[in-house]
Amino acid sequence: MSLSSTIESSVITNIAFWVVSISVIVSSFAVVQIRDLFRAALFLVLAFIGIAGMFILLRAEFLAVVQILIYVGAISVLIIFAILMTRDVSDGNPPNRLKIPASIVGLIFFLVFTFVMVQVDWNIQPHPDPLPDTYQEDSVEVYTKFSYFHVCFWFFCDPKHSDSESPADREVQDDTSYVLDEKLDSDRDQSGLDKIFTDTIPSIAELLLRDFVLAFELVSILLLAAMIGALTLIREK
Amino acid sequence: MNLENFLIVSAAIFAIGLYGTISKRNVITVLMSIELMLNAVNIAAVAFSRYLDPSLISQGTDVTRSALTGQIFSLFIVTVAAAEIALGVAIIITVYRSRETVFITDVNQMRH
Repeated sequence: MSLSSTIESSVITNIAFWVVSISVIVSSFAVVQIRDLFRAALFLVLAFIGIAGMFILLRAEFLAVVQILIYVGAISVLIIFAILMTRDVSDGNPPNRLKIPASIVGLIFFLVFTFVMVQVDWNIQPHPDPLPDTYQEDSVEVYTKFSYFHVCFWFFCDPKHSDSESPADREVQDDTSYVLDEKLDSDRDQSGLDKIFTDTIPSIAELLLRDFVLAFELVSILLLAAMIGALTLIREK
Repeated sequence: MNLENFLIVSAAIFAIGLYGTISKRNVITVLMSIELMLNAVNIAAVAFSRYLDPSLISQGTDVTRSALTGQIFSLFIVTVAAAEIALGVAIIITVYRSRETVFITDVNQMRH
């Protein structure tokens, strides 16, 4: 098992996922429920930051940075400007006649999609596992032993006096050097996918400027048209 | 933490955004709910591109291309959302100048 998939399945990553997803869902619920529009916009900022955290958990670091820059930096500021330029900020979020039908539609949508997503047999990519399981357990055990003795060495022994170490310690050190070499080897021959997701930015740049270059240029034209349109709409006659 | 967790979170955010879009009178809340729905779609696209096996759809072509297509789609969705929010805020401010309201139930000249 390579290093990145070990990190992804660790306990801390799972805790981070649950914290981030619960905070995103709660703050996006607050966006549609709080009566004070300004506070709703601040909860929207919190939801955007949490979604950036989910992108980081999904190994899309560039997209997380783009999310922070564009959504938190630009779109939230535009929405807050729009709130401040209009009246009735503190009591401006009443529902219309469709409150109960809308909640029913949203609930049905959520239930149907959850059912479909749990039922479908997705083609999950296989995680590379070049070493057998027994070897894994051995290596993990020796690795923890190694770190314990390593710390002891660093704190209590001077490297100059390393010739006075006990034979047991020397044996442990020999084991650890063997395990470390094996670890480096297993990192070296990890699959191509893990290599892609360890450094996505060059691949994204290559894709944007080679395969998707037409869409890239069209999006720039779209942004220009939106900018001109917004200026034309907002101009004092 | 696997694909289904991310997809369920994405569906929850999309459902909340759908509820806010349909049921609110203030047009700024409607815009914020639309942003929530776009973000939910982004999460789903990036989760698919992270977890699904790309060698099944890239027959003979580059594996990198099919493994990162979801992130490219999310980038384009972010750009379109930025353009949409700029135009939306401009329209809101224009309507507020002429009609003195931001409630979508009050802007109904086209019905009469």
